[in-house]
Amino acid sequence: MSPNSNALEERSIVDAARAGDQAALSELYTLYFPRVYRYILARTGNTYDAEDLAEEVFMKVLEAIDRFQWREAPFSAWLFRIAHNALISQRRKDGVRGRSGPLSDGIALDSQSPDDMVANRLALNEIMDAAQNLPDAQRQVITLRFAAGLSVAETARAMNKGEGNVKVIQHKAIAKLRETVRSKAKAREEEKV
Amino acid sequence: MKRRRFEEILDECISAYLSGRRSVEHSLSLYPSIARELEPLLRAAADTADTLQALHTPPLVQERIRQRILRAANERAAARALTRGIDGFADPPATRSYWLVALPAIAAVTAAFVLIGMLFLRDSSSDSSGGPATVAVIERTRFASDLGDARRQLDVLRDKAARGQEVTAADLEALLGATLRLGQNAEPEQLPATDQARVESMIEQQFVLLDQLSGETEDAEGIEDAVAATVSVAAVFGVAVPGSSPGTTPSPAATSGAGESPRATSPATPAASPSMTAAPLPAP
Repeated sequence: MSPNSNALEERSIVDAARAGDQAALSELYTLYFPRVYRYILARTGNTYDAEDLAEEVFMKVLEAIDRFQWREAPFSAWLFRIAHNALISQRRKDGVRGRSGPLSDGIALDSQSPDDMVANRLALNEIMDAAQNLPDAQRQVITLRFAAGLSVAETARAMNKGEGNVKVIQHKAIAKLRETVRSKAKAREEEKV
Repeated sequence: MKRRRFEEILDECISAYLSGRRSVEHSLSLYPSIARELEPLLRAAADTADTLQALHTPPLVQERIRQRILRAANERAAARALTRGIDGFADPPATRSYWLVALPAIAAVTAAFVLIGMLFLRDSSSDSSGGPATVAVIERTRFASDLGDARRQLDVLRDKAARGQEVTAADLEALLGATLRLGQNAEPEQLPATDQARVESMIEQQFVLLDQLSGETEDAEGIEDAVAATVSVAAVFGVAVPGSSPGTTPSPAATSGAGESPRATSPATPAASPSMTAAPLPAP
């Protein structure tokens, strides 16, 4: 199916959900829950927070969907703005910035083998640790683009920024992420020696 | 200016990687003059994306929250139906005092409850299965749940196929069961156009996926069963089957023998077989 027909299908689902169609709501949930969950999990590193916040996000979507306007933003951008606001409000409640403890052990990763699982887990630890050092806008771009799978245009609308600006932030974030991961790996090597 | 151009190229390569259109190597070969600068960033982006995309959503969690959301949606719909047309509920005017709005509304809601109670009692006395409106709501909710299940199973398989993971017999069985339930519980003649469109889209995607899997999976029997179930459900909803002649929507009565199993009447590959026939729906 082409991106255009996907977009048309999504539009008809969103419109039906706005009109109170529960099958459409369920389908929207199927389409977006994994992306919202991944986005929140990548920001918090905690499966319990991810579950609670993902549920909160979809409850807010349910409350607000009849006020959603296509001309203001694509549905995905609107949805991830809600997710971002939920994260901010959670952070305020917790009184901490970002992840408060180590990566939750309950995080499940898609892996082909136990070796893959270990490798993925280590990589996830490294990336989440490195992401802690990024400014908030950079973390948001990285998680929206790579965990939630939003396009640059959708990311820009979700963050209320221009596309050019998002590309600049994305470049800086990747460069900093890479640098942090490398310097931590180097430090570990030196410790071993 | 040059920096801006580099960011455009980096993003173009990242987007191509994320959508599966190009590998890192392919992108680097397209921009040899900046490949040295591009490579470390592109590899870091690809590693980050691969790792974050591997974060798994627990199906039980997803399902539990779905049920809560749908329950909340049901409650909202019921509350809205009760308060529809009552002044002060849909659009509370800011200038009125609370009680001026609330008192008539409370009276109206109470009256609505009494009325519904009376209607319910009347329905119960004549028909033990509940009033027609109640039945319609139950059927609608069941259809939503069945369609959601079928869609979910399809998404699981599509996701696995896209990731190059093995599609197991259990996966195919789950798809088969969800598809059959959708066909058995539905009343297509009462289906709104939006739902019909969603079912059609799902069936179409299911045929495409099964066709793709038939060349990749060893469980030919499982694929055959799933194809047969899809053909049957296509017939129930009046959806044309790929490969059948235009305008001839399969119907169970016209194309299948009573008591035949889907496996006996369906070909393995939907797109390649012009003679797909619908079978009666067995119990999932």
